[in-house]
Amino acid sequence: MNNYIQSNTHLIRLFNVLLISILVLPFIGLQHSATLLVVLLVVFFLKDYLKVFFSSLALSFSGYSFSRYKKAILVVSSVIILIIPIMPYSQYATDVITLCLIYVILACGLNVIVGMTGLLHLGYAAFYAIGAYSYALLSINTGIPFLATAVLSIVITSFIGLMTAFPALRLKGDYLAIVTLGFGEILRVILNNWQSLTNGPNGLSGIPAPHVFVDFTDARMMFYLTAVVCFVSVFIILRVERSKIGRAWRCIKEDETVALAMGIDVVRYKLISFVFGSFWAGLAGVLYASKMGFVSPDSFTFLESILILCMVIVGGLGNTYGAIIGAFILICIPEILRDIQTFRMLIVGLVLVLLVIFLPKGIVGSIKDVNHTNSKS
Amino acid sequence: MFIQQIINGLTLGSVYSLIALGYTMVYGILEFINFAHGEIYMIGAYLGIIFLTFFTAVGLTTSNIYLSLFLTMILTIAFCCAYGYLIERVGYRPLRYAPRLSPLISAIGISIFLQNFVMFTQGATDKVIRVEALDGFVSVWGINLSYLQVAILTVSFVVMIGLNLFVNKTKIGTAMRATAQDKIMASLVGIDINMIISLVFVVGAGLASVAGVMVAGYYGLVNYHIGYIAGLKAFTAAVLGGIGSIQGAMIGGLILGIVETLGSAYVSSDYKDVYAFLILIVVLLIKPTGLLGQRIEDKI
Amino acid sequence: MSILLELKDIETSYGDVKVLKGISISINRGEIVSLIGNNGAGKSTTLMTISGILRPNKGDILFNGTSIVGYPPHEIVRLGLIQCPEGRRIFPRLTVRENLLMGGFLRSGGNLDLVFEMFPVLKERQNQYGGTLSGGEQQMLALARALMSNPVLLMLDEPSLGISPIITQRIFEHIEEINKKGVTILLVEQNAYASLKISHRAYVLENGYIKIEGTGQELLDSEEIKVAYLGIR
Repeated sequence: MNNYIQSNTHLIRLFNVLLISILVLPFIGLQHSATLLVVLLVVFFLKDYLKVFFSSLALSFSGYSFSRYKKAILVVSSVIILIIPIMPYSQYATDVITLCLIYVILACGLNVIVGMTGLLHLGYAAFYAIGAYSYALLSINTGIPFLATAVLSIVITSFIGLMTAFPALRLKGDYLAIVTLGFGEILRVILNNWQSLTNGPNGLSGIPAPHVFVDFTDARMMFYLTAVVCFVSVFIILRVERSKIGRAWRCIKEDETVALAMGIDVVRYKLISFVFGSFWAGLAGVLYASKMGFVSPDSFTFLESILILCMVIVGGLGNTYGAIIGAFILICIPEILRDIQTFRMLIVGLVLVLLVIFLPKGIVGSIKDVNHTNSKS
Repeated sequence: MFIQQIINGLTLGSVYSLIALGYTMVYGILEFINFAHGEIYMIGAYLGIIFLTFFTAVGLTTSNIYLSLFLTMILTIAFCCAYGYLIERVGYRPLRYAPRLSPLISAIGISIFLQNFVMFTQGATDKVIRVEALDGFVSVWGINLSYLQVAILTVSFVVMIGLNLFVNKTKIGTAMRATAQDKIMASLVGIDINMIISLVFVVGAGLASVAGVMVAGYYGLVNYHIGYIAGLKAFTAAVLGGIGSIQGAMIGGLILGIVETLGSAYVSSDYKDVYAFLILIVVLLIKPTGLLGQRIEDKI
Repeated sequence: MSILLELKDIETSYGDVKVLKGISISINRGEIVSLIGNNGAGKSTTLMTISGILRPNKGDILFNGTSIVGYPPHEIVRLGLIQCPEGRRIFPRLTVRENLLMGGFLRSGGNLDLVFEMFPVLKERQNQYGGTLSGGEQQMLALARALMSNPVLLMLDEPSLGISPIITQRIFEHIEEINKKGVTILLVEQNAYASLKISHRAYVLENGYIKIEGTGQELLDSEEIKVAYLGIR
């Protein structure tokens, strides 16, 4: 690079650092903003050293080959399953892990639509909500046994998925995204305002716990149920991914026109993808509602859809293992940061930005890349 | 009071239009949804209140209210433009050649960050402001127009005309359109694309901040999550008008404002947030590219 | 004759694929130099590397003796290295006049009259959208747009692509005319015969290497060229 350009970029960066501290001035006052400036300047001048530090960090990852690391996920998760019962019982830890597993199902389900088929879906939480509310309403208002209720709720969710997909799939790219987003918002407003059915913003409580031979009222029992369901779901999704359907999805994602020319019924496979994805949202909704015993519209906002989308992308778009890792990371980071409540979301936002900038292909994709370059050189 | 409602709708709509312009311009050039844009509007509203409080504290408001309002506006716009510039620089530029969804996630991260930054520093409760000098209204043919409504309508109108002239008649504006059509060719004729992209973010942020300040005065209160819902609706407005089209964003915003106001007045205000999205879905299903959008054929 | 532009052992990749595998080219002031070769030989990549759109992994590009590797594209345009890329790339929703003014973006557009004189058809159509012109007219517009910025070195990528033979002939006449006004020209073509005829010197690019170089006439006479590029046996 030429010298003059280099010095130019340095100047611009310095200017940006100054700008940041000026911009936060009205919000945090003179003193804090001056402190921030000092911190930023230190970072700025030590940047080159930090870069060395981070690249050595990245290199330390490079020893792991992808298949070994796939195995590692299986090993780690099995260990967790085995350890939980003999560990000193912690309601909190069990709840967090159960929640993680529910989100694993959601992330893998959304990954089918966004990652494999390439349809940007911004209203996934709406289907999660439909699953949860269907289960809540059916189990509170009717006496149908658990399994039947669960199946019925999932069928309802998939059916609504199909109904929305018909018109929505005529649209492409970002237009599809905005329509799914609109659908999510409409559903949230309806949940908030249809007092007689959904009890509005107060939500529905008193949802019975699952009952299959025994009652799953205990948090630990619920955890096992979720774990089993989660493993089966991931297994099924992985199988479908490798089937003819999965290959058709990938083809559509790469190039729709080519897919058409190859004789793939694009509309049909998109519909399948959409419905298949909605199916998992319904399942996760049932698990969530039966675990919490309570649902309210607050749990299914646009931010929720975005959170699930972030899991998929952070892990590595289109990769089921990536979605699993993403779900764990994005549920665990806020939980770890629980003690600094006020800062929590601030850091979550920052982490998201840093993750996509430094690991643009997601965690799995980036590890693959490092190995790729290593094996070549 | 049908006409009164229309006026209220236009007021709301022009705010949506101002925000929507930022979405549409960024989309036109980078083809991505700048989810952090709504936060600029929110920050604009907060900065307006912070600066005005500051001017009150130093006594400028009592001696010359109009000067302090003017200064508040100018300072807010300047700060928000800088925010827009920095967001692009820090959050999006490193991702210029990344996969399509990466900048989207980055934008979401920035949006979460800014919301919580403001909540953390300014508190989670509503911030209230009252400018007594702007409390009157004028009556024309039995329709009541508050001073602030007049101000919002006038300022939006002037700003939008100005933007149209800028984009269509100036050299830099033409360069912006050229960049939106073909980035590589634009750089081959000597246009500094990075400069143009920065400019688009700066202009968009400036427009959103104008909307933010005026809304802060109009409703008299702000909180840290107003940016989210306003941003969502403004984006809807941009898509409604045909994303990438500047006139489309203006028209889309106005339609959305009117529909929302009439819907809440004559149907039910509980479903206020639904009308926008219903209209959007209906329009997209009939004309998938929005009202003024150009059909972009796939290259085969 | 002084060397205007010199490529020294340039290597450029698209992602993992290495397209240019070390090419060296030199262009003297006032020349027409042709770069010919098949599809995928790396001709357009060479031009994009010179223009700063692509960055070479190796090698150096000297313009008037100073290295321009790493300059942003608009700085390279400011130096007077103008490219008229493949497929013309007219701004479709800008008027002809606006297209031309964009061509002179860095020079507050003084050349407009000169260009209209050279291409009268553009003057008639100056308020029409660029996308509505015919292929030949678009090529004229692309050429005119490139001239707007007073090029020192004009790089033309396949100006005859998709254009009828008569118009092609006119475009080549224009190219010679521009050259006579003192503009150095680097011409990339698949139409080897037409371009070799007007070139002072030429390079043949094959699979990312320079295969042959020589004067235009030498190459026209070379058996290898005749067989591979001119279809004469």
